[in-house]
Amino acid sequence: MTAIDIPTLGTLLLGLVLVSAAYTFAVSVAAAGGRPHLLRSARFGTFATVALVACAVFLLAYAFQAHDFRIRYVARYSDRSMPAIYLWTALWGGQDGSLLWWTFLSSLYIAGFTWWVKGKFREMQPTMFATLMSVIGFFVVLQLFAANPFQTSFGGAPADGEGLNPLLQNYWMAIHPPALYLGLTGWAVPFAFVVGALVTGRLGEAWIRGARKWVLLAWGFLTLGNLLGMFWSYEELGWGGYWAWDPVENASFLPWLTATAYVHSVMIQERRGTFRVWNVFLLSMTFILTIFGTFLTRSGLIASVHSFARSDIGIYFAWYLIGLCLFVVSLIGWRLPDLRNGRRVGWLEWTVAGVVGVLGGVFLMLAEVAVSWVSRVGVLLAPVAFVALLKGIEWLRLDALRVAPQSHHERRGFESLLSREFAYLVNNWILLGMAVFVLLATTFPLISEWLRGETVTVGPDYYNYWMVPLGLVLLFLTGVGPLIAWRKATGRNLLRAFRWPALAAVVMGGLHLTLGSEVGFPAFVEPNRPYETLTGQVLGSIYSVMPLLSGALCAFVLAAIVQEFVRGAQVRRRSKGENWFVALFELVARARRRYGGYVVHFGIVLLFFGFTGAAYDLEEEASLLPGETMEVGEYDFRYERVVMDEDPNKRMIYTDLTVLKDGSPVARVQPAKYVYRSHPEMPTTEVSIHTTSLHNLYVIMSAVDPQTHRGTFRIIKQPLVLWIWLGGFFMLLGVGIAIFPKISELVELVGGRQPSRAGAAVASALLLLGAGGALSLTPSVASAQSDSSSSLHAGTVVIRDPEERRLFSRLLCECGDCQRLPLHTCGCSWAEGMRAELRGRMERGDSVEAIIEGYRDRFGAGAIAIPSDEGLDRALWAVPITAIVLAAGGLIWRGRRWARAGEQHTTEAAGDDEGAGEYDDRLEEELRSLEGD
Amino acid sequence: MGDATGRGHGDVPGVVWLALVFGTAGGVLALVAATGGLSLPALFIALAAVMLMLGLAAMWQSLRAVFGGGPEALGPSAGERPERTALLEEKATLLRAIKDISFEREVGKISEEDFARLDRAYRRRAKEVLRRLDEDLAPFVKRAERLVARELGEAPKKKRKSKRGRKKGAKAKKKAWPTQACPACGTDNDLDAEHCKECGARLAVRVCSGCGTENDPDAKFCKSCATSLVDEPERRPGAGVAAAGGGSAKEAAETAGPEAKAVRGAGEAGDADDEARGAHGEAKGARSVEDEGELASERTEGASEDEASSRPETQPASSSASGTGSDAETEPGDDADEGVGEDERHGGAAAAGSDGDGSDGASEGATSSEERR
Repeated sequence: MTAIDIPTLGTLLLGLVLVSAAYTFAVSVAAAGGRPHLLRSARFGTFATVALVACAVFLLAYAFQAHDFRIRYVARYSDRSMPAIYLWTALWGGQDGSLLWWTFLSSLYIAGFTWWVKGKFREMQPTMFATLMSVIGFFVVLQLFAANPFQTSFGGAPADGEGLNPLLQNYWMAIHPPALYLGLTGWAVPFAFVVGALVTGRLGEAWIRGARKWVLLAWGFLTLGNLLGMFWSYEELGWGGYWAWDPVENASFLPWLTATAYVHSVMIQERRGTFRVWNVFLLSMTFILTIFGTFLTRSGLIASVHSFARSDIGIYFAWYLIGLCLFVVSLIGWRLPDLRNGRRVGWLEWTVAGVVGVLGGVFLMLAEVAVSWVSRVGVLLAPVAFVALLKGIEWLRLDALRVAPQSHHERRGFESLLSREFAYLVNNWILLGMAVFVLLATTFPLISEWLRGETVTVGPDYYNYWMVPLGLVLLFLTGVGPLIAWRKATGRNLLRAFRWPALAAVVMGGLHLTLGSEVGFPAFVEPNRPYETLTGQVLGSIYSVMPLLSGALCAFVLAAIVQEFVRGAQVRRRSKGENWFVALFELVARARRRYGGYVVHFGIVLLFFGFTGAAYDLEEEASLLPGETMEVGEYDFRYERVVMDEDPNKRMIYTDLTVLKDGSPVARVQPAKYVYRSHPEMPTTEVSIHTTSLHNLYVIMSAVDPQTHRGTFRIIKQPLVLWIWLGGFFMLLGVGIAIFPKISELVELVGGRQPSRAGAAVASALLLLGAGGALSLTPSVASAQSDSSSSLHAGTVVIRDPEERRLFSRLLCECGDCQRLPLHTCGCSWAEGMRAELRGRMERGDSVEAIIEGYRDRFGAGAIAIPSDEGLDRALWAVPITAIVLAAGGLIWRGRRWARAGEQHTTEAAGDDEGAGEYDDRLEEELRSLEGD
Repeated sequence: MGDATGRGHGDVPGVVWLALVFGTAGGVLALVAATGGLSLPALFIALAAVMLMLGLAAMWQSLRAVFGGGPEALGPSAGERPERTALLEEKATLLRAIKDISFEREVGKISEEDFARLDRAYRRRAKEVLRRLDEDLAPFVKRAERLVARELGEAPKKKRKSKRGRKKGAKAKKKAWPTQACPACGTDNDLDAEHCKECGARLAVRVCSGCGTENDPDAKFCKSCATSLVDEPERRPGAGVAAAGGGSAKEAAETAGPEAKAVRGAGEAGDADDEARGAHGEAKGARSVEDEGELASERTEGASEDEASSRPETQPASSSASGTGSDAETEPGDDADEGVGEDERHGGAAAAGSDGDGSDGASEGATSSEERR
């Protein structure tokens, strides 16, 4: 028992944070409302709030270290035997603490922002502070009233805590959640910029320049967080994959998509002053999606491997989200006349709303769902009501209050559809399309339950099939964008630009077709269908040619990127006479955002290259006695012996295997099981991964018999996984290049006094960022999900039969513990038994469809991994795909109009140049002073 | 907590605060280390204590500012005129466009015909924008010239400026207009004036710009220090435009190169400066030229004092223009980032004039640019 009453103090502190945040909010609002001297108060209030949040975090950390089990959270997530480092990571091991940790990371950003913003954006500052404080305020309210980490245990302090889940007791817990949280919380600052710009009406390009670095920083951390999530899943969860389309993964993938779209479309605004509404929307959307993702996973509404216990904080999030959306929509509505240069909400908006509403209604009809007429009318009218809301706000502003719209310079359309601008718009189209698709699929279980009271599961295979075509389009656009000139590309030059990349793609495709099978990477894979309908066949065909397409596209994009660097360097060599290295260095140094972006693209190529490897995964399962050998592809695995070990914390059972290739040993792997003393019922599985540049050998020991030493192994040969981590490294490197500040900016940051210190600080932060990526390259032994107390079975069991694989991939394990794992990856005994039973039915000649139907009847629709292709389930893919196709049509239609307008304008503007000669020199001077990029 | 550095009178500097906080924390740590060894719990409780103290200190600073204590913070300016901001933003995008297509031509992505056509179109528009930006400023420049002339005529002794201002304004100071006082009414007149501009009395003497000795009006060299009294006024007008506004902006551009920008930036810099002080009402009331002059001098004074409060080493300066200009440079200079004052960088001189009637001029400028459209 400690002398200080930490629980009371902690709760008090949270109250203090709330008071401080509310006070700062009020002062900021006052400062924004015409009392500029209060800005200083707001600034210090922000610092005070941040410091108090930090104080609360350290207090909780103290409580963990001092084993203050009076605090329920401490008692539930730690015990006296845990080492100090896990006492620290336990801070974010559970719901309540992770909310506090979330607030803390937000406040770190806020502190950095408040420091940085001094003297800049004076008019926007109060609004930005108020926005940030409202975010902090919400999270503190949440903690105070729904999930207080300082809540005391009922019935006094227990003698010892329950201890942290063994799954969470590994070093990835120290890296992965903070990185992901940094990626999610970072969007509060760009959002504050949006609100600041909208409220103060400074809608020009100034705020965009200010927010640029913050956006890239948050994007970098979000990317890092996602990559670490993949790596963690691969190393820890022991199911042999890196991305399971789990709601938590989707929750961080969605903002990544919208943020990536923003990073591209903002460049159009910087160059043309257009797409203001779109950019504001994208950035707000990104922030809202980060909150929405938290809501999804924290509320327990959707089952997920990550999900925290179902709790009552969902309702708080729901209200906050509703408020946030209404606020953003009204704010954008209010500024719409300014953003659109006085143009009013017109027939286009009404038409789009009408079309969306009608489509929604049609789908409800087709879905043959017994929905109340209120819901039907609601779906029909919601988009129209949305536009009506905008129209109403517009009326209020322009007609009732008569606030005249600001004017900004005229819009001039595009010069051509063949321009980088339009390519970026197309990129936005596919990214947003993917976002809509993933969003709908993630929330579909909820929608289904609401509409027809039936829970369904949208398994990873559903995403894997549908995202392949979308991803390939994205990959293609990644290559096309940089090849097209800003403003206007012309036929001949375009041909020149596309010549080498296209050639590279053709060569790659040819090589793949001719040599692929020889080296184990055939151009086509066995077709497999998600549905038995036409859609399923089409998807299956796309999937089977995916390796060929993906390889060719990777070569295409790679060649395009290399060509960009080479051409840029050539220009410098010609004009400056530099040698290749100097020219390349100077090229990147002078336009870091552009070439940093290309490095990110390079990372994306590697990523896709690695993903392609998943098509060649080969999985074998066998039960062996020491000395016996099993074969996986060209590798042989010889089971040598069992090694037992013990430490104070746990008992360890290792199994030694030698990896042989062509008869000679190439590596040794040592999968294991750990039995923790605190959780003997949850043995963890240690995966052993042997990494080479071409293959990863992922070895899982499912079970070992202590007497006979008979071991059951699951071995997956996964080609090209290493390239995914490499790709991630290059993506982070690219972001680092793009955001690394110039010396002059560093000097400015510290008020012109200590450039060295700030330089060191920023550089070290970036190094850390890079190191995180580099760290992810080191193969390691990891403890993984307790996956089996499997009964031993004799002989080799192989899921090599494609029909069998197709069946098992569409059924989910229903043992109750590993709900979301499909039968073909689940290693539990129940799954094993079910596989045996279903194999028997197949042998008796039952069709796959019949077996699936039977499974559905037995366990309900929730047990099928991929929703069927009929009724409401069809809407799951039909709605987003229709939206994507319609949007493509709309984009081209609008684009042609823009291009016509732009063409006309250019022709007019390019007329004779009369007079104005005195400005020629000044223009040249201005151009010289404009930095590169 | 970079801002903990208080700068006003009687304010505890932030360094002291930090020292206090970290000293206390160090003391606590030392105490703990002495009693039971430095353990992790102790470290975390110490960190929590430090954060609590920092939080309370920041809160204290915040509350002080609410109740009017602490150093005066410069309030936000009330916003730029949208027309000008729009022009500046268009300029930025046009420059970017010209740069883009020239790069695309160099790497061979755009055909020569398209490049020529687009480049011509963009350059033409850019020049148009530059011209309109200048026109937008023209009324300010005129007013600045008039008011600076008046200012220099009336209150040369009051002018002060900051150290930094002097550095920037050094050039301007060299070229600043030496004057001579009218023996009859005391009004300052130009050195080469033959009659007083205020009372019309004949100016009997010629004051040496070097040592201040009074010479005969037709003297060619100073009788005390032998400084030439003839050459200087002849050289002066070109440079003088930039410093004090004696001629047209065009002339200045031709003769003084970079200083021409000073004139262009002047109105704007003053504008922002004025708004920063929230002086709309005052400025609007000040319609007559007389009032404007007075206000201008007062405000210049105010600006200098404001500077003085933060920089004790402030010294008296000879030119109001550079004094206020420097203020415009240092304080709203940050707004340059926001696209307000791309042109303000050289706004080191001749800003006093528009300082008095910035907002007034603003509305004028707005209307005139509207009309042009």
